[in-house]
Amino acid sequence: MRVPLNWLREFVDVTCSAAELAEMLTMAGLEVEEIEEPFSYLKRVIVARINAIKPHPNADRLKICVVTTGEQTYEIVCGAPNIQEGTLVPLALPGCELPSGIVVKEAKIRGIKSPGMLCSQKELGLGEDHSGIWLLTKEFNIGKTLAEALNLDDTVLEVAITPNRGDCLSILGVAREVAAITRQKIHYPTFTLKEAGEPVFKHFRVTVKHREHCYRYIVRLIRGVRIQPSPWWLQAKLLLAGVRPINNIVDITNYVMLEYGQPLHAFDAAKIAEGHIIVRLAHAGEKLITLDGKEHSLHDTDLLICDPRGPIALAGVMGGLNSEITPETKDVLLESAYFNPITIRRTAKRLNISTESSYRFEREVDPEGTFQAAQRACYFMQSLAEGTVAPGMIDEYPEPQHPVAIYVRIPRVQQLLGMEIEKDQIIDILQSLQIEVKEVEDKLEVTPPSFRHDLTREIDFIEEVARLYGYEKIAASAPLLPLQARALPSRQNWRTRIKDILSGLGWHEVITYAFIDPKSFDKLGLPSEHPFRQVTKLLNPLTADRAVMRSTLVPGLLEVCSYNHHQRIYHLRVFEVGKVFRQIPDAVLPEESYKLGGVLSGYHFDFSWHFRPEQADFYDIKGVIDALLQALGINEVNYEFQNDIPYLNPTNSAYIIKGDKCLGYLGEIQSEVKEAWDLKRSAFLFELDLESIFDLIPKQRQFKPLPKFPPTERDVALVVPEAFAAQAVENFVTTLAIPYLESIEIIDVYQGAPIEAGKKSLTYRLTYRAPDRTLTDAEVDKLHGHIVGKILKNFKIEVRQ
Amino acid sequence: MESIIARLEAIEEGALKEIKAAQTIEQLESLRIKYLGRKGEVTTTLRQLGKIPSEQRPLVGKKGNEIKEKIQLALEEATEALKQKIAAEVKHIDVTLPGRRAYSYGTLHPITQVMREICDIFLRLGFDIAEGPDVELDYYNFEALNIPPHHPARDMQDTFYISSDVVLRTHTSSIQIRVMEKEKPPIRIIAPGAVYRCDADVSHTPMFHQVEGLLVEKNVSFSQLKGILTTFMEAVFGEGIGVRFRPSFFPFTEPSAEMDISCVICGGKGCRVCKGTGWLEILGCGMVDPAVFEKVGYDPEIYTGFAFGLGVERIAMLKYGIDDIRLFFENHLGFLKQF
Repeated sequence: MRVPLNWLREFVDVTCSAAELAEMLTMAGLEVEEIEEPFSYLKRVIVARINAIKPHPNADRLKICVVTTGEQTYEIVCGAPNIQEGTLVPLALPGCELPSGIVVKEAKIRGIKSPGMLCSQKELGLGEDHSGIWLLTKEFNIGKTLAEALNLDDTVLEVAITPNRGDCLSILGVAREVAAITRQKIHYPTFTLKEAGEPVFKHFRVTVKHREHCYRYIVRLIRGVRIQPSPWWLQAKLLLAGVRPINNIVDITNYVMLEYGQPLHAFDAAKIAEGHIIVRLAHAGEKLITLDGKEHSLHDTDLLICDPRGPIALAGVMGGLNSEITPETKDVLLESAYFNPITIRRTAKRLNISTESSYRFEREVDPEGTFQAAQRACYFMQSLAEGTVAPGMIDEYPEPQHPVAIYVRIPRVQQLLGMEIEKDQIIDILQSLQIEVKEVEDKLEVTPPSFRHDLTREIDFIEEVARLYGYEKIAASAPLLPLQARALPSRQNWRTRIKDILSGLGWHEVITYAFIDPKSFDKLGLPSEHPFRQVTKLLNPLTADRAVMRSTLVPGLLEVCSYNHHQRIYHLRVFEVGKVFRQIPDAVLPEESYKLGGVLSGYHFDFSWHFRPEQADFYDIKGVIDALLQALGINEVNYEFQNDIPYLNPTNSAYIIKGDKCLGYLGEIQSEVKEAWDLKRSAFLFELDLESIFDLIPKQRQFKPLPKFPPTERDVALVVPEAFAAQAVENFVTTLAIPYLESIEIIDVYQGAPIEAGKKSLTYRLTYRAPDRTLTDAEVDKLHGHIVGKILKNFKIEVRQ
Repeated sequence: MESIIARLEAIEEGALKEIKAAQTIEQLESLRIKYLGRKGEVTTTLRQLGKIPSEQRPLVGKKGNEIKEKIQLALEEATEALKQKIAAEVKHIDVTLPGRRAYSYGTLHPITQVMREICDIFLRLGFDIAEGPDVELDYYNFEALNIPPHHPARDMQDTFYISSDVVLRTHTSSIQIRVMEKEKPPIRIIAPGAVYRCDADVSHTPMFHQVEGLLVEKNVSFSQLKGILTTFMEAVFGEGIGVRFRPSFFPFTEPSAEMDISCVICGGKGCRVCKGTGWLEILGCGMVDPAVFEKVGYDPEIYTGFAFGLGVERIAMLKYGIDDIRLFFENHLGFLKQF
């Protein structure tokens, strides 16, 4: 809401500075977002008279105008066709920044110096006329700045009005707030109407068919208007308020709307068939072309203003083209109504039209204000458009609305705000807001004014007390609650822990958008039945590439990888802990669960003089998973070859299995997928299902006494086929349940001479230990021989010689 | 007498010669024992002092001590010289070369870090953490929060819809309702999480993060709301931070307030970031609206409460001086490594 200060001053005294006023309003809940002087550039534009016009020596089309501002004479080069000696024109002096962004400078035009510029109305941002220099009328005083001459040298406050305060969407509304804060009385404008001719109901009637959508409908008739531009003082106020002047009738309806907050509509009375206005809901499919020239197909929830032939306006939203005011309009039928806010909002939202009118109706207007606004507009049409107001008024208001009185309890006010505030102070505040207050024992019976729809409950009045008392004056204190400590939800705790582990391992956490491109699934090469494709879709995505909720973290991670590669960052290890969503048929809400994903590209290690830079491989990413699972206390995890994850290279990727549960997968990204995301280097990724992981984390760690006797180690090297899985031996040995065998781990993998082609050598280290004594070599040899024998027999392989 | 002195002089001569020839610290040490030790040559020679006439003893004793000191001094000098020589010959490693590590430290996303800081403060104040779904029923996101359909307050948040009655939550306030439906007061929770609004520019991303707080008990007041939030801001931005509360509107709180902090960039003098006002909007808050209590079956005559919601990105931007919110979601490694 734009509030020009001079306009505000018509209703209330403002003695402080604009900044102080802004602070005052802000601290009362009407946040002033900006204090501006929108037409300050007009202070560098002077009303000047053309004394003489001389030809330009170097150009036929250009003239040199000798202009005077009274004190000083300038020679200005000008090419406009309409300049004449003796006329008043706006002269922009150097330094003036015009709305187009052009800064006027002393320039040389075809060899002649021109210390300024004569301007058209459009160049000055004051109208649409660009046919020539703006010829000013004789009322303009020569030598004055245009800002002064046009009453545009005013400060404007841009006030943010919260949705509950529709009553403040007007100069009067803001003035009421200022009056309440400063405890002043409002000066209401006074005016008198001179009614003449036949009364309005002689020729017009109104039928409101759906009262639940239109609570009040007032019509007045103004005859014999002359359509012309509004006087400058009115245009100036509209311009300051940010509304474009059109013609006097339209300007008047806008002016009164800005002043009183009541949207008005002016019909060309001659265009209303049979003089019969019908307010009704649309028939489905009915059509109306609105003032902006757009045709709308209507629903049966849209409220229309009609005549017997059909719709003439979209109630409260926009007028119809067929009943528009034109230069030929003689008689005006003025509408001032109070529509159901929900009806108006539904239509405005559906048709995606938001007008000054619909905005106000959605936030509710003052049912009593409809009358005053109609009177005010009639007065202006009489005084500014040569109109004659017809006697009488049609006022369809079958169920007058009266504010309801309720009680406010003083102790409740004190308890809720947490302070001792006197009864008298509360009464004073409420009365300053035009609330009627009656004392009834220790309670107050309060009745809000008709324009305050938001005051219906005790709490609403308590807020008003707090607001005008000043939030800043309420002392801060500490809540008193019984002490209680509950354990953090364990899943939340583990998510925190996982992030710490991974960042400790040198990985960087990323956060990506939870919505992804639905094309991602094709880019990943997923079959049509893949569960990732069971997505939750947005009805109104911002962009097509963020249109579905992610069912996997992979597309987001690939995007991060690609983005960094394009920034020439190739050595990358990033992870994300995030929610994924799976749409379940017939369920209202999708299933939400947490996943952990990561992507790695670049080298084994950070660049350093210690290591030769070698390209990262599968074991780099596997090492991270190993470390993470170990840190979480999840052991005996198996890695199984996979060949059904289409976006991973089947030769170096795997499922991560624990028991019969798949925890996730890891591996190298397929080259097609790499291309689809335009990755510049090969990359590896993993994705783990955190919900399964959480279930596997041991609730409690159990201490094992430290061994008292030394271990004995024995190594064995096995020659196996190339495709042999090293883990198989470990798993097999574990199943043997050999006593005193503490651990088995692989310590070397070798391929090449003297091992024959197609085979490889795996060396395992077995550690033996007894809890109660030192094992003898003979005992260990016997155990070891037994195990090796079993292995050779089971896998049909040989020991390396 | 002469013979003792002569012997001492001979010992001295031999000792000095040997000390000069010594190559190692160990050799010097054995020379010390050989000459000056308890059974050393000088010591044993001087022990014969008793065999000479008493009037000659001082003279011989003096001579003996002189020789002892001379040898002692020569040993010390030789040791020092040898140490220096050895030190000069040792080859140092280059301690200025970078140390060996596979990876530099990893980082937590700045949003995670700020979120943790916020949550930790409230956890210390006795709040619990509550969570809820990102894809939420319109009922929890709007209706139960006193935002009926076709209410202009819906314009305050541009909403992503999944269907006519399912939305991406526009705030984590939806969790308030889910918690109150399940539990009875006293309630002290914070609800951190991602929220979504269809808006994108330098200061808006379609997804961002919020921490919502709720406290419900008997006799909770607006004054206490001010107290908790002032404590919180001082914990995040330091004790000197200025705060102010001004009236605002949220459908689910009344009275409602915006909390401002004094501009962290200019200290309150007025700058581009605070648009010259000296204040920065930091969070919205208020007393829980009785209509919300009625929805969850709490009696607003018995219980009162307050709620607040703060934007994590906003706080992170102010804390770290980040001027473009989109940086959080681009995940440039150079950005991530700074936190």
